[in-house]
Amino acid sequence: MALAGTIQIAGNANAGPAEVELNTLAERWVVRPQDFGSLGSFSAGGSFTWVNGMTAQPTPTSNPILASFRCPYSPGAICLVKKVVATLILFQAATGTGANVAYPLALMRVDNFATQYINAANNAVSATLPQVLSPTPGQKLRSRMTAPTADFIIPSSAGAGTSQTLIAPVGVTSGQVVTPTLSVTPITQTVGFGVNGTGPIYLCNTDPPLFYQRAGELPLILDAETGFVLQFNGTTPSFATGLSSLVVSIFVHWEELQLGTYTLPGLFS
Amino acid sequence: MAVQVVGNVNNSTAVEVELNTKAMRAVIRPDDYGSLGIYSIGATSGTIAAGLAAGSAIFSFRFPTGGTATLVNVKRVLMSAIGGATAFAAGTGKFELFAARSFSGSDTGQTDITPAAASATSKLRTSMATTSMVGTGDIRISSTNAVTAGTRSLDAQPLASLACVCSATTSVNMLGGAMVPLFDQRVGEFPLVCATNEGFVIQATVTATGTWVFSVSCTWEELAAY
Repeated sequence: MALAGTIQIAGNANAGPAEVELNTLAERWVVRPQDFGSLGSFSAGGSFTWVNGMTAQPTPTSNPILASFRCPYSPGAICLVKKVVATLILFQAATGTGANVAYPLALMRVDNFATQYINAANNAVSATLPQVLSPTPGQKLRSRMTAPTADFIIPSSAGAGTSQTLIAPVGVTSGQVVTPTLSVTPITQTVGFGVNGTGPIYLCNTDPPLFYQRAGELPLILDAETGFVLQFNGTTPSFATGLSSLVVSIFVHWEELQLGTYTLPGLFS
Repeated sequence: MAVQVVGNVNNSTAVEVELNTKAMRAVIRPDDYGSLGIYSIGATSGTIAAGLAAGSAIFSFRFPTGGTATLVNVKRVLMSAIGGATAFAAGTGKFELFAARSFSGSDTGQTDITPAAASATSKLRTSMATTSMVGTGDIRISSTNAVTAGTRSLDAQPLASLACVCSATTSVNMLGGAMVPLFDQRVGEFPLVCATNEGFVIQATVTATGTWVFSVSCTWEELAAY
């Protein structure tokens, strides 16, 4: 029995109480994931390859966007982005101009993100549709979760002589006109260097992840019609003569929570 | 008036609060596996033959019905891959991890690495129960070619995707690191929770001509509830 003036911590269904270690005087805890309530916790990934050059990127940014993630308008729900993992592999031809050039890769927050936008390629070959990684059937980290609502796309692959599918966020297209706004500075940024005519170069790799908030750290909180893009931020690989290619893979772990029921006022509200 | 928090069996031992930071000391314990357990397995393939079809299954994990556990929490899947003695046609490939649902029939062929019955294999503590994967569960890895699909439904998109290098030079690391996390859920993050007849599959797409070898390590919990 506990001494007078002390308390023991009991559980809900389980009486417990929690243990305190004899020597370290530390109380035993187990850390559980965020309570997603009636929504869920999700993961989605994909990859694409671009060969021989990139066409001009549409507004609101002139930098090629490699992935686009949007929290849609879903009343009372938000997205918590926990992890963004990307791998970029660059092959440059021996005759390329990218030797010792730095290629920054940035994660940019986007506000006023009303819808995803698919741009037709700027050359004569028609573009293929982007790959829709979410919402799709699945992506749940437990089958009985509600299906995800987040809007996550990446470009499709484009071989030599074919055009890329370019993606870009847009604001409301009718009635109220709103310009999507990218953050002035990146949430996170990495950089790799190009080398001509040698083996593949990793511009970005999985460890550490591009964005990774651990236990106790604030995730990237996306309210309705906000999101993020992964883009080159500055110099973009410019494939010169010869065969050059860029391979990108990306996956994202996120949670969808309902406001008011499972969030704390002032924290995730 | 303050109270002190004391323990269960150690019911005269009060938890400490740090002098300067005023933080209460805590120790993080794993999920309570009860009478079940927490397991890990690692395996290396054989030399994968050239010309593997795109999107081939190279690793398969199926949690069956009929075992003691109700759920399997997949916490971590790590991979490494390296080109072999015959170089690839230069290019890139990918590895993708798909959730497999309605997994009523195990994949077949290649190398079965499912833990053997009544052995300490894969347990992170010998006193843990034999894994529910024993018997009708199935874990397998490619030896020279693709694993043959059983009865399962893969999600439309993978849970995770990694691009890899297929080099025209032999013996090149395909993933840019010795061991790369393909799925790695840490403290406070949601694992892949598999009910019975669920699991996951790793698929590979590589360029032609090359031979290669890969390894996979997987850690999972078997629980009655989560």
